[in-house]
Amino acid sequence: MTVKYYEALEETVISETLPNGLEVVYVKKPGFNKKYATYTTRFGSKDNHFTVDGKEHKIPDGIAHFLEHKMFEKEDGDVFHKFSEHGASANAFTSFDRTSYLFSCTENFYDNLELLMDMVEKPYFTDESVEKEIGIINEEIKMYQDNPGFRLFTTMMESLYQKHPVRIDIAGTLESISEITKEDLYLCHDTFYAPNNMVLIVVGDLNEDELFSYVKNHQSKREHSKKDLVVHTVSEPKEVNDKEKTVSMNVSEDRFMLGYKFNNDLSTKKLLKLDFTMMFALEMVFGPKSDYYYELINNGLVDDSFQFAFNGESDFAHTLFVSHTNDIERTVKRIKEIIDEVKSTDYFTEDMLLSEKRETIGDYLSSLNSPEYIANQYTKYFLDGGNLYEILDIIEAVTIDDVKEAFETVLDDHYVSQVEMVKNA
Amino acid sequence: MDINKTVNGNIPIVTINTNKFKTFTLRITFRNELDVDTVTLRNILARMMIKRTKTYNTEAKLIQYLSEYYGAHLTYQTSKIGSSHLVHFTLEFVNERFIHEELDILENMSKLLNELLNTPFSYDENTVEYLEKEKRLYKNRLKSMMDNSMQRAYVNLLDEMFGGSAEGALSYGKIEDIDDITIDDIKRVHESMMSNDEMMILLCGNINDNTHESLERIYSRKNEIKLPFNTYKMDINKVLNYKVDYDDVEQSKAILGFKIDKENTSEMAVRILNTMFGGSASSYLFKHLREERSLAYQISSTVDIKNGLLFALAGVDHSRVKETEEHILIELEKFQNGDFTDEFLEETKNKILSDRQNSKDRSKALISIVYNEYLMDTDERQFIEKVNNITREDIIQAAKSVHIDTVYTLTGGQSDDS
Repeated sequence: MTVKYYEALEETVISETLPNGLEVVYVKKPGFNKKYATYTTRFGSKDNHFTVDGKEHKIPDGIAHFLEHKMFEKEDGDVFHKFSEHGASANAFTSFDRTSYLFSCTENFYDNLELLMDMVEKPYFTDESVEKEIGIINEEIKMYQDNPGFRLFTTMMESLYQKHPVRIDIAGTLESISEITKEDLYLCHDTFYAPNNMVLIVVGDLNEDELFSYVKNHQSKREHSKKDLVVHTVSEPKEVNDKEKTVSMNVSEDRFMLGYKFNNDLSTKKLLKLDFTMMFALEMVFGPKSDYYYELINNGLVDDSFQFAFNGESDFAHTLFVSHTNDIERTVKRIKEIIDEVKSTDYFTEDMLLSEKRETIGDYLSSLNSPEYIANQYTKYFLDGGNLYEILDIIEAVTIDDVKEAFETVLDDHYVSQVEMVKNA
Repeated sequence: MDINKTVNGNIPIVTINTNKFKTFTLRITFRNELDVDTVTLRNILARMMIKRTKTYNTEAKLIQYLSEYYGAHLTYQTSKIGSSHLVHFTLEFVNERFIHEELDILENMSKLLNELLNTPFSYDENTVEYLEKEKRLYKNRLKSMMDNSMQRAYVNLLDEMFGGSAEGALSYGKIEDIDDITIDDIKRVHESMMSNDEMMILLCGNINDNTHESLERIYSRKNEIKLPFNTYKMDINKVLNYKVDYDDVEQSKAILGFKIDKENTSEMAVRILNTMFGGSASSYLFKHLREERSLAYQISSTVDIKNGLLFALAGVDHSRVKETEEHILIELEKFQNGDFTDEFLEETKNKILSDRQNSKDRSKALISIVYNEYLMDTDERQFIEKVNNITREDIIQAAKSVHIDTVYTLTGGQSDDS
C-alpha cells in the first residue's frame, strides 16, 4: 500500500497493485457523505481488432458498448435493481478507449462494492438477451442521431480519419450490432476484463485498511490467467478523409465544425503537457478575454455556442471549433485567417499565459470538490500514464514558447476538415 | 457543518460553514411571483448584469478581473418554484488556503457583487447596443434549446395544456418576447427586482471572522421584504386531449401530461410515487417499458410537486407510440391498485434520503437545500420524518390523485394516433 499526501491540495491517495495485477486506488474525502467507486477496463470502441493467445479476431463495431449494457444482466435478474435495493445508483459508460462501471451511495458501501466487482467479473449472456438488447441500443443510436451536436461530431470524425476506429460511433450501427453473438461477448470479456487490464478507484470517507483488505480478499478468490494480448492499431494516413461535408438537419440555425487533424507521435508525458499548452493557446486566441472572440461574436459569425478544444490521445489528436452561425463560409474563413495572423505575429504574452494558468488552477481546485470528477479523471490520467494530482506541475511548466510552438504545429491547414450543418428546406 | 442565519441591511444572510470544499460558493437570490410579461426580461437583465459592470464595462475586462482571482465563476440561473420566479446570481471562487496568495477574494467579490446589482441603474442610450447583442445571443440560445426534439415536444405540450398562461411558463422565458424588449423595460424590471423582490444572500465554504463583514457590503435595503410562497391550483379535466405534430425526427417523442389533485394527497407521497413510477432506473417505466418490452431507450417521469404536475417522457420508434402510451397508463394503474411491494417502497424512501445526503456534498446543491428550507419554513428533521411516515396507502392515494390531461407526440412517422 502506497500512501501519498499532496500537501498543497490537502488530498490523500492510497494505492496498491494487487498480486493478480489489478490496480486499486483510494482517494480520501473526509466529511463527504457520498462514496463513489469506478471499475474500469482498458477496452473501448477502438479496440475492434486483436490477437489473443495467437488467434486473431475482428469484432463487430460497437461491441464494447454492447458488452457494457449486457454486464448488468445476470441469471437472477438485473444488477441495476440490486444496487437500488442497497441504496446505490449505478451506471456505466463506454468511450473510445475504456469502459467504466460505477456506483455512488451513502450507505451499504461494501455490499455495493461486492455487487460492482461481481457484476463486472462474472459475465452471463444468452442468445435471447443479446437479441433483446439490439432493440434497446438501436433506440439509443436513433436518439443520438436526432441530436445535432452529436451528428456534427460523428460526421467530423468520419471526415478527419480515414482508417482509425475513432471514426466509428461508439455504439456502432444497427447493422454492426445485429451481428453480435454471445460468443463474441464472452471472448471480449475474457480478453479485456482481466485484472491486469483494469483499475478500481474509490473516493469517499472510508477506513483504508478495511477497504483494501476487503478488495484483496475478494480479488484473491478470482481466477485469472495471463493472456498474450496484442491490440492491433491501424496506421492512419496524415491526410484527412474529406475536406468538406454537409449534413442537413432540422435545426433553427446553421452550424459548423472545423477540425484540424494532428499526427502526433508524442510520448505520454509530452502529450499531457501539450493538452494544457493547447488549451491555453486556444483560450488566449479564441476565449472570452480575446478581441478576436468579440470580433466574431459582434459580427454575428459565432454566438454563445462557440466552443473549441484540443483532444490528444495516444494514437490520434485533433482540434475542433464548433458554433452556430449565420454565415458558415465567412466564419470558417475568418477563423483560419485569425490562426494565420496569430502565427505570423508576436501575439502571445506572459500576462495572458499567467491569466490562463490562474483560471485553470481555479477550475482544477473546484473540480476536486467532486468525487465523480476525481474518480473519472484519475482513471483517465492513470490509463494515459499520468497522475491527476500532479497536473499543477505540468501547468507550471508550460512556457510562452511552448504555447507558440504548439499553436504553430498543431493547427496545420494542410489537415483540415469542415462540416456544415444546414437547416432543412 | 453549521448553518448561521442573520439579517443585515434588511437582507437575510445565511452562511454554511464547512471544510469540505476547496472553494466558496456565494449566491444572491431574488424571488417574486412569475409574471409572463417579465419572465423573459428578467433573464436578459440577469445575462447583462453578469457580463459587464460599471467599472469592468466590457465582457473582456470583467472576465480578466475574475481571472486574477483564479477564474472566479460568475453565473446566473433562473428557476420556477410554485408560482415564484427566481433569479440567482452565483459566484464560485477558490479558498485562498489553496493558492498561497493573499488576494482578499471574498471582500473583493462582495464589492463586485454590489456593483453588479447597482450597474443597471445607470443603463442609458449607450447601453442599447449591448442590449441588442444580448437579445440576439439569448434568442440563439433558446432556439438551440429547441433543436433538442424532446425539449421541443415538452414546450409544445405545455403550450397545449396551458396556452400562454403563467402555469405553463418556463423560467427562461420565450423567444417571441425577445424582439420587443427595450432598455427602458430592462431598467424598469431591474428597479422592480431591487425594490420588490424577496432577496437572500447565501455563502457556503470555510467561514471565518471577517466573512460577515464582507457579505454586508453586497447590498442593503430600507425594509426587509418577505413574500408569501404560492402555488398554482390545477383544474382537473375530464376529457383527455391529444395532440400530434409532424417533424423531421428519427425517433418519436411522446409526452403524457398529468395533473395532480393536490387536495387529496401530500407532496412527499407524490414525490415518492414519481420516483417509483418513472423517476429512477428501478422505476416501473424503466423496468417494464425499457427493459422488459424494449419499447424505449429514453423513458422517465418528472414531477412539479408544488404545482401538481407530472410528465412521462418517452423516445420511441414511430410505430410504437400508441403502445407506449397505453403501457405508461398501465404502469400508473398498478400504483393505483396497490400493485407494488413494501420493499420497493422502502427502497425508494431510502433512495430519497440518500440523494439528499449526496446533495450535501455539492456546494450549489447544499445552498439550494438551505434556501428551499428557508422558503418552505422547514428543516432536515421534518424532511426525514415526512419520508419515513409515508405508507403504501399514501402512495395508492397519490397515484389515484394523478389524472391524465394531455398526450403530446412529436413524430416523423405516419399518424397512428387519432
